[in-house]
Amino acid sequence: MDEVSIQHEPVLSVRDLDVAYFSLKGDIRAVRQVNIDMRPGEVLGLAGESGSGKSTIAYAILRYLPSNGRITRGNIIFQGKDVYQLNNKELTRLRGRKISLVPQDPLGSLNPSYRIGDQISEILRIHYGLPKKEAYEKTIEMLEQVNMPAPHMIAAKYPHELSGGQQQRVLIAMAFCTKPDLLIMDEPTTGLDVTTAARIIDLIIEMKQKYNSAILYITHNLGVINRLCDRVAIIYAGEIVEEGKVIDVFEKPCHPYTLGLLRSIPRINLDVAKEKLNVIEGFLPDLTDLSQSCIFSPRCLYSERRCFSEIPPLVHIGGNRSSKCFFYEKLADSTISVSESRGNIAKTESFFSDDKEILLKVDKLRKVYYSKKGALRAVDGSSFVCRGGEILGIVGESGCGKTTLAKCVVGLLDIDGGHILFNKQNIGVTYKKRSKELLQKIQMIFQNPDATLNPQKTVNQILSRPLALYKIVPKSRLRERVVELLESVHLNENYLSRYPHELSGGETQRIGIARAFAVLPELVICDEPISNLDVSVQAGILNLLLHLHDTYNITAIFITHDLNVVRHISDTILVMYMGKICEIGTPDDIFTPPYHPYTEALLSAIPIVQPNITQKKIRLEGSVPSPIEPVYGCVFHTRCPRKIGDICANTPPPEVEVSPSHVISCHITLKELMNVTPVFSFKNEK
Amino acid sequence: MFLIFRKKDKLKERLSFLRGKKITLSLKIGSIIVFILLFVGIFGSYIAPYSAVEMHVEHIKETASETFLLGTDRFGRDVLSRIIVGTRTTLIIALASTSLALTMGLIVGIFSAYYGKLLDNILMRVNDVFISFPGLIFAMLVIGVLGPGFLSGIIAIALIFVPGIARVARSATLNIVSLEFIDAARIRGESALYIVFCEILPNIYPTIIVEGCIRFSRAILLSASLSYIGLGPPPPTPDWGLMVSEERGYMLQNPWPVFGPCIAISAAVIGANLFGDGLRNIIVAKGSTRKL
Amino acid sequence: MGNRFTIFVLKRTGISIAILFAMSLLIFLMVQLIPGDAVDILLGGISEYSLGHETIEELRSQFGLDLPLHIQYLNWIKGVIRGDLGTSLVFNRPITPIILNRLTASLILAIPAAIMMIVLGLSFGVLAGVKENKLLDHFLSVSTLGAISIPTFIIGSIFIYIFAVKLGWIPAAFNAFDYREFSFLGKLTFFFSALIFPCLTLACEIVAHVARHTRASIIGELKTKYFRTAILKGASPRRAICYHALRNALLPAITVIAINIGYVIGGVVVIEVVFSYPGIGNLVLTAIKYRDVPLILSGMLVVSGGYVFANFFADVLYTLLNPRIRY
Repeated sequence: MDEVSIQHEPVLSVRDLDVAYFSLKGDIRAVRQVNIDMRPGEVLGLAGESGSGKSTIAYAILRYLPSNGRITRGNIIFQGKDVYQLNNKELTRLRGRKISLVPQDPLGSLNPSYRIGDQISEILRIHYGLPKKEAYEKTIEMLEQVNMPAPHMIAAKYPHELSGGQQQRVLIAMAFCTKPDLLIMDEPTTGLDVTTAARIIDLIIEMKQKYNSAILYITHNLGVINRLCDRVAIIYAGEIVEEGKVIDVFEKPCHPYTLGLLRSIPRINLDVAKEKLNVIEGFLPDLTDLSQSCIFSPRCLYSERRCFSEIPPLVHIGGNRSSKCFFYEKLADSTISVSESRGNIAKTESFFSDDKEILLKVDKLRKVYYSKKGALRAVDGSSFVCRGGEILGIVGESGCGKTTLAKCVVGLLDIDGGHILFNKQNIGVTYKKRSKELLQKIQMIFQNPDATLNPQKTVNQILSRPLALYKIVPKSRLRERVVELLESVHLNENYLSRYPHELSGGETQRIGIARAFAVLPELVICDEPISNLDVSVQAGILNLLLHLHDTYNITAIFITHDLNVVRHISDTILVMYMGKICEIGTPDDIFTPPYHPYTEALLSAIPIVQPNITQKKIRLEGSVPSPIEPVYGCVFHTRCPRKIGDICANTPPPEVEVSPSHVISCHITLKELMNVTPVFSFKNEK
Repeated sequence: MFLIFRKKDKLKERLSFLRGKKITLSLKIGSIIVFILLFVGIFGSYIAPYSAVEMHVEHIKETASETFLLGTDRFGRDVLSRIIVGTRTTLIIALASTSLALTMGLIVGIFSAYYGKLLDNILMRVNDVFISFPGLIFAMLVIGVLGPGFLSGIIAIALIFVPGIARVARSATLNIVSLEFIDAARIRGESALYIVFCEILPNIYPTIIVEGCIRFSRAILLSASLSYIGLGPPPPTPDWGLMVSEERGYMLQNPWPVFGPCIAISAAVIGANLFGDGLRNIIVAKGSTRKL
Repeated sequence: MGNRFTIFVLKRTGISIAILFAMSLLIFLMVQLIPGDAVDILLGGISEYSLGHETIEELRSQFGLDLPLHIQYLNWIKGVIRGDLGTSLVFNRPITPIILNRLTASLILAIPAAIMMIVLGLSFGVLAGVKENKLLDHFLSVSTLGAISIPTFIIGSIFIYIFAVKLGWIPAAFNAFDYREFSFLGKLTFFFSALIFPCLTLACEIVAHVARHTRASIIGELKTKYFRTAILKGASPRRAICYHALRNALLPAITVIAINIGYVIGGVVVIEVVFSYPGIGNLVLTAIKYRDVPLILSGMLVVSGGYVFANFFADVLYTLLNPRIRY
């Protein structure tokens, strides 16, 4: 946003960069023809999915490619000097001082055997030769700048004693303490909670304004780019396909891939729900075997013959934008309006109706983990109902108890209090004590694609087993039925003999879904099934789940931390915090006032892509209190921005019924809650 | 006939993971040595030029000659034949003890890890007691109790190995048991036996096989050492370690009765080690990265 | 910090003592399985008929062999705690001084070997790991493979063959000379020359083990993300390796070193046989061969006890160095 910076020399100039990795099958051409220019103080977002090559570029700039990687063409000029012509001494003086990196995995990136203070001071001692005392003082100063409470205590701690958010702050402190001219950030908020991530992004904005460093921000999350970056470069399979100012690119993309990405993200437009998301069909190309064609052409909706025989050049299309598509003009006229090329808009009226049968009733459920330190209350008196045929979304941050709740319902965990009633039958016991009929009726889809399938079994074996175990079909029809299952998840019989490691993340999750549906359950619990997948793949799985739900009328509980997704897929939403349910309602109820204060904070923290929506900024101070400490009042009172007084700390909050479908658990009166301004509003609204 | 073709295809499918994996030099050398070992062990008595126990009283302590390629020992027995037939002794002890230990260790380790809690605690405490014995010393005690011989050697070595293998099996199982497909099997209503044998075991057998190869090489070493100190199969069984020990005094006249078995032992152990190392490279690499 | 650590040390001591007791029980029970008892061994081949049944029973009660098993066990343990390890049947002398004597002799071999294991093993391992796949690494990998594959008795025999038989530099057997006649310097040279090769042979295998494991650890460390952080902070490669990587590689090294102390204790038996060295390994072996029950019991207990102590020490050191456990 700095107009001044345009006058200066570029800090970083990547020219025509080609990076390749050596492999037994041939060279993997991970990065091709990449050009990046960065001016002082500018924040450039590098957006792409896994395998797009964005991390490769980062490490190429730092000259830290793995031993099988090398630059095959082009060069990287930093402040006038070619990075690859420097000798070792100059290189060590450059790294950590003029160019810093904030990596993705904060815990893994800190040495577990040394204290935090020592690890930060090390940089100062290496680059400035500061004596111990001065280095320590500067370290404390940096920790204060990144808003760490009690910096002296933190400096004396070891990395594993800090929370994820604190660890990331330490890394940011380490990166900024030498006032670098270029800062490379590699997905620094991945793996952090929504509210924590929001504060980290706030911090980055603050530090950037203070130090005026150029920032190369690498991520797959377009919403974060919208908040943080001035310009964005979209990278696909090693090539930059579009570049420009964030506002321009997100409002009117000029490349089919960008368009596809933007359309595959669930939007918070406040008047639509449950329509089909756009899916980018196909897979990433094989980078060892590239031809003279547009890299995106096999998956492009707009591709024509020309795209398959020529590589399009990166064309400047005015207003500081470029696009690598022959037909950008066609796109420049289109809009990403929701109605175009999406399926029918499903029912928008509230699903809520009293007369649907209650399938699952959870009543004051408690699950406590006992350890030497005390009793950890994972789920603390949660109650809700789930009606037949509905999709119940449970949303919350890590540690809120949503996964524990799911595991109690499905029988993987024992419960310590309360009841779980399924079809009016009490089922609060573990799988060992449940009957086979009951086990058949409740199934689960898991989160981690790498762990959800047995690596030693073929797809055929994985899907046949549940069918055989429950004798769903006679033996003679087994294979036929397996193929039917595969087709229902949009795969085909070629997959039968494949092993899990030969499948992509999306395909693995589809098999997981097929496996769960194979036994014809009545209730399916989906525990964050898409959280570990790429954005464009997520859309496909969401569509699939909705399709299956419509076809078989199965009841589902969908657990996630992503509010966009939960809004898109659920009929009813539960918001959980520290083992308790704060708010229950339909998506419309949740996303519009009145809000539970926690919901309000969550909504104001999610990164949104639409540039034309303003978002209130409410941040939660402090960190999540320990779930071992006993709590007498509202669990949220220690961080609640709307805390009204001692009553919040001493008395458990009542359940306020806003409407038959909408319940908020708070001491604040309904009238006051109704008067709260909405978190989201359109910029152009009257 | 058709069935054979189907089996062959399945085999090819199974072996397809070998494509593109580094079959290192160590694996090649190791496999050759192990193969020779097995071959000589099985067919030894048919290859050897003479009987291993027959004493040629006119040819005591002779040096290498045309009739006796490596000379004779102090009883007039052909050294080469003794080495060849001795392969079987070593092989039997090493293979039997390793297999026995693998089976017992696997069972203890897997079930201890799967059932957890009390059973795990008890088994692991007992395991700790056994592991706290230095290996060779414990073997000496066992053989001291049972008396030297084939069987006691096998049992002794197996007993030393079981605690270590149990630990390896247990930790491998713990890694698997926390994975989500095990949970999926549980909520599907699978029995514990099914989960252990059909879900867990296929995932840990590569680790166990590699561990087994390393143990096999150590078993050869141990059995030779035990025979050397006099606790192995009693004479006149041809045994490499025993030969080295007995013929020591006559090294100056004919080094072969000592060096022959020395070379045989060293080659066998090195071969088994190389094989285990090379196997580890292949097996570990099987979990290749997924495409997105 | 101090508090939690002290609690850990105390707990660990308790566990070690419990293990030691369990081991003593196991040793005792196993020894009971040896056919015949002390009296049978003592009498050698003299049959019952010659001496008469009553005389033999008298002998048995004299040795305390007619008491129930658990009393025998308790008596033995009480004796051990007092320091009285019983009387050897073979040597016909109290065991405690014999064991102390032999133990010292073995330690003279084992301790320098252990020091070499730590110093050389770690250094070679780090060097090989840092220069992965270069010439030095290949050379070290091959030589360590040889060292762990070729049994100690073979290496020992080769040393004897070359240096004692062919070159005559060192005495082939320890007790071949009457060293009391030598001057002080003479004694020193004698001891050194006699001890150097047993020690070296013992060290071979354990140095190689530690080197191989350390190499693997270092290679793993070089791939970690915090190593990357160190380099990208601007640390020189040397600092990154010596300060960051090595510190974390020490932890698994301690585990390996502890395990190898066990090899040392076992390997010392073979070495002592090869070099005819009067150490504790030879003592236990003799006891087993001659079925000298009291000596077997005491010898096994002392040797195993040493290993338990070494493990305890290693555990404490590991916890000291690993902040993740302490905090």
